[in-house]
Amino acid sequence: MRIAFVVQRYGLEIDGGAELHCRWIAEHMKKYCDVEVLTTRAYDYITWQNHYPEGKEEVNGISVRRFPVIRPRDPERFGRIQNHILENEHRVEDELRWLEEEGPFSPALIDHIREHASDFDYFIFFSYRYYHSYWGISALPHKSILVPTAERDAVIHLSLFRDLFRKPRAFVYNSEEEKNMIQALSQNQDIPGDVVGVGTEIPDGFSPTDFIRKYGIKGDYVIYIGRIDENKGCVQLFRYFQRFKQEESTEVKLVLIGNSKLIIPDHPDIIYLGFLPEDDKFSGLMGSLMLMMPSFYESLSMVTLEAWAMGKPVLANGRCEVLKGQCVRSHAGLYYENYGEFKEAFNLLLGSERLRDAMGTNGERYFKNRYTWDVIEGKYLALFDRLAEER
Amino acid sequence: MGDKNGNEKKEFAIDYDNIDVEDIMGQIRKKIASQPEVSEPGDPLPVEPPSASAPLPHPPGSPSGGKAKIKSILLKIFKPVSPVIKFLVLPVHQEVMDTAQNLHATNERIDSVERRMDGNFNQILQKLGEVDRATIARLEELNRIREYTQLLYNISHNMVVELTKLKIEHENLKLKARIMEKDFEFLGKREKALEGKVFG
Repeated sequence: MRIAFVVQRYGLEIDGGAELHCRWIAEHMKKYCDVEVLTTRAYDYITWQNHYPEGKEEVNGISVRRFPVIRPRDPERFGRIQNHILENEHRVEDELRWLEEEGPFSPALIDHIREHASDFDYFIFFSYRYYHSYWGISALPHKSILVPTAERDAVIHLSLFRDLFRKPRAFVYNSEEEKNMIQALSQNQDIPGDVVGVGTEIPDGFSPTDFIRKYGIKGDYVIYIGRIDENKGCVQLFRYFQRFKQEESTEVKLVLIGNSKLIIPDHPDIIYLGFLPEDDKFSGLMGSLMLMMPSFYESLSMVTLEAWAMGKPVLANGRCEVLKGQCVRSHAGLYYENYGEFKEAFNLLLGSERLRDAMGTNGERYFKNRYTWDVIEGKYLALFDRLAEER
Repeated sequence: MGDKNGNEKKEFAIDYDNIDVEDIMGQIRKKIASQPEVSEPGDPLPVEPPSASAPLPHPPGSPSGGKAKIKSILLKIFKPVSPVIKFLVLPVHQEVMDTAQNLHATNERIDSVERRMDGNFNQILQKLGEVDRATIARLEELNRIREYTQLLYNISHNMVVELTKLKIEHENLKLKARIMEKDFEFLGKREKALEGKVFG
């Protein structure tokens, strides 16, 4: 079986999002089929400027074919067009113009897909919202599998995507919530699709004691891992945590790991460590009481899965449907939608080691049943078998 | 943090062998919902409302029996001199006693009406309390929406700032590239001139 993975960017330097998701899946599926990645030369996700050399190369044993972006994105122009289509009555042509502006505008990639349709059994497209997915799936709907990685943002309601979601041969969703949202938008229940997500591997050799000693953390702490950004709910987390500290007599500290785009509040119990190597990240997570996950928008929170894989409970933002759904299904975390709920849930988790242990155990079980690589690979293979039977 | 044996505050009923997150969140919400009521001072004490069908006490009737009849006939016949007869026939004391009884009966009627009003008043208070709670819930919802709107506003603002910065940087880089092109051109010319001097 030959599979092509089609994604907007691809490279070892890209360490997050749908691109990393795609790379991991491609690397794992290599065991079962011939895999080729079709992508652009872009590295920068704002302008899509050509960065990587054109043509074929090998990345971690995977054959990668890159196509040029013929017109980089002009962020200002793109912003103007996006505002126009989100705020005004418009035609499908306007949405197509928006899609072209959003990019990565690489017609050669689409031509290649069309010309080499017979070389592959399936084309797996990652990220519904970019040029490559819309035109690639439109070119070969019967061979397309879409991994939408969709969040509940404004553009998903464009009519363009309602049509797109009815085209592919099959879907691979990240979560039940994503599946429900897309099905509600496009009424595509008749298209086969499974909730799969992505696996993760926990490295050996991490040590919470070394972490505490290395970074001089005293006493109990909870941890946030990820980009420190307003979109990720960090401003609200800081506000809630500081108010909680004012109202409750607790020594607990909030440790932050990740690149920050915000000014971290000057508070003795908020400790910012910056971007850390993987070993330190996992050591920090292992030594913490729980993971704080305040994000408003997630299609699948990989760090939440990592926390559960390590037996740690999670306190999540309930306004993010995916996080709330994961907590409810796993019984491995509590969630909050306002300060009152944050305070009570945080207090309850802090005050009960037994509850934390029980939720941690639930998390481990949830992770093992759904997100180990054996399970993920098995789901992809089952989907291919199902599609082959239907053919 | 916490107690290893799980002897934490027993505010929530949790089955640790079979954790149910929705049930715990339900208990948390219930607790939060109950908090404003606890903190509200001076809830009216429960008053047994008088039954609506309970009759009001009757005013004391006039003196009853034959004595009253004779009295009224005599008063009619001798109407012109009735004040004198009244003064002579009826003892002032009796008159005072009757008046006092009348006043007492009137007081009782007023008290009864007041008790009924009190019952209604408590009902009104109760209704007001419900409206108050609904308003608080609505306000919380509005606050949530406001926070959300604020967040969206901030995100848009940050995006605009980032885009502007990128645009400026882009212009700077373009400018630098132009300067470097000119430098390069100048160096090329200089190279040619030097070559001319050296080899010419």
